[in-house]
Amino acid sequence: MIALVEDAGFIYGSYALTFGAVGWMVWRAVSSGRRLGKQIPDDEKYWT
Amino acid sequence: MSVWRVAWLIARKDLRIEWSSRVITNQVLPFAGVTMVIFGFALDANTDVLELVAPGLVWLATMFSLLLLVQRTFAVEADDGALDAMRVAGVDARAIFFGKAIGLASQLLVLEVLLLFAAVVLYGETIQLDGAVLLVTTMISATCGLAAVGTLYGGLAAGNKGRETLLPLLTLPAVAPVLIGATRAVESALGTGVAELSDGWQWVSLLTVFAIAFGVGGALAFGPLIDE
Amino acid sequence: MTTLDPTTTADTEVSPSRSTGTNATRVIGIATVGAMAWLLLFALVLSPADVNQGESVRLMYLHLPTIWVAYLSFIVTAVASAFYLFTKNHSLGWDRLAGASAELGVAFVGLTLVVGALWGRLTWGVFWQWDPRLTTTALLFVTYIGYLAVRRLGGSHQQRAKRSAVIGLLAVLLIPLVHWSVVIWRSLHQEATILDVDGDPDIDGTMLTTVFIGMIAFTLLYVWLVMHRTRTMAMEDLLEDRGLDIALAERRAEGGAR
Repeated sequence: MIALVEDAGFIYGSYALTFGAVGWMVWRAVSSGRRLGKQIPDDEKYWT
Repeated sequence: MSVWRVAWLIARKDLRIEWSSRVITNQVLPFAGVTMVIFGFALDANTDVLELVAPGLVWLATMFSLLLLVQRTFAVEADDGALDAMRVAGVDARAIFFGKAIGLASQLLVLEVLLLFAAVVLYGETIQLDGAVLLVTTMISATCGLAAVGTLYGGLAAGNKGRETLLPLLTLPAVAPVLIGATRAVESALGTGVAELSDGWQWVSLLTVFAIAFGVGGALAFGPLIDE
Repeated sequence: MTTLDPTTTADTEVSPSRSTGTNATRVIGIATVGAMAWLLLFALVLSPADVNQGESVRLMYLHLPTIWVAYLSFIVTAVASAFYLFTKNHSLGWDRLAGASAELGVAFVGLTLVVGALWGRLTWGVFWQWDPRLTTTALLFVTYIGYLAVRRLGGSHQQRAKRSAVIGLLAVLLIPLVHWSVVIWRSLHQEATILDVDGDPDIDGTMLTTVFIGMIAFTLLYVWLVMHRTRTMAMEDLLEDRGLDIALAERRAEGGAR
């Protein structure tokens, strides 16, 4: 029983860590994109 | 002048500089010796552990000393902007690469012989005659690979401020195959632990492939890396 | 309006604020969220526990996708580096793609190592083993950290691009050599059997499906992230250039004023 509980901690912890890291990467992408996007005129952006 | 002729001139220049300045003899070789001694402190010199791990320690000390040797070989050029001067004068980058690498390899070989001697004295290693050919071949093939990698990344890390600390980070992972292969081959040659003599030649082939790969790759990459 | 209406011209000048999102990234983003949700459903609920490992097999559904994406990232870095060096234009777009992809690769390898260590703790009882795959992965991690450090050496964008491209291609040369040496090394030793899940012939159909979903979800995530990061790097480069132009103009103004 105790082993199962420890296992669960590792498993949920890993999922939390992974998705936390993913969420952080996503947040960083969006926020830096917005921040820098304000400082550069649109015609200089190759994707617009 | 052919690439090899120029390379030889550069290598000879480097060795002459060392002969007169003795920087490596007075600083790097003692450093290598000190490293071998402090390994003994760290690993409890009274047990048989040292004799077992001696090949690994020899190559570890070689790796650390390599970093110093590389920095030295490029410091010699950086002081007068000699690398740039050579390039501007039209010297083939491959010649510079091979020249520096040959000089570096010569210095490394001397270092390795001394480290092996230190291992015999400090760690109780014995060198058998039937392993001698394997031992020499290992040292030569490993040294060529180390010299190629060191020259390549040394060229990149040389000169500008804040770059020298990049050299260990780039070099040590890159020479991991050499560390693994050379240590195992020397273990076979010296008969430490359970190593068989026959295993050693497998490692020598890996070391040789490594040396050729980085010899060729390095020669091609050196020019773009030092031209700025 | 073609009249000289001051408010409209003022409006268009003041609003250059498009961020890095486009229709393409929005579509990919939505697909990613959907795939991730589907992955979580399968990984945590629908797929069964393993006969040998029990529930800890669920970590495989994170571990395999992350290392897959890492390999993908590094392959993209290598290909982009080659395109930068060997095409006539030497377009910086390739360099930025290489750099963005390597950053993601390092992040995903790091994640792989951590989750792998936790999984190892559960299944083998140890956080680390010196087996070929782990050792090579650790060296891969450090090698590309070195690549990222080289990118930060400074100088012009073209200098950065050339240096990084060369280092990026050298990494491709190095990784097989590292792997080869580690494989021979570890095969010469007697070892406790490592649970090799990918080679498990009894792997359940649902498990395979879940792994597959995970690969898709994380690949979509990678594409989304690399598109945004590449665009952001383009803006960073533009800002750096602009800062340089401003500084040069100021220096010239100083010179002229004397």
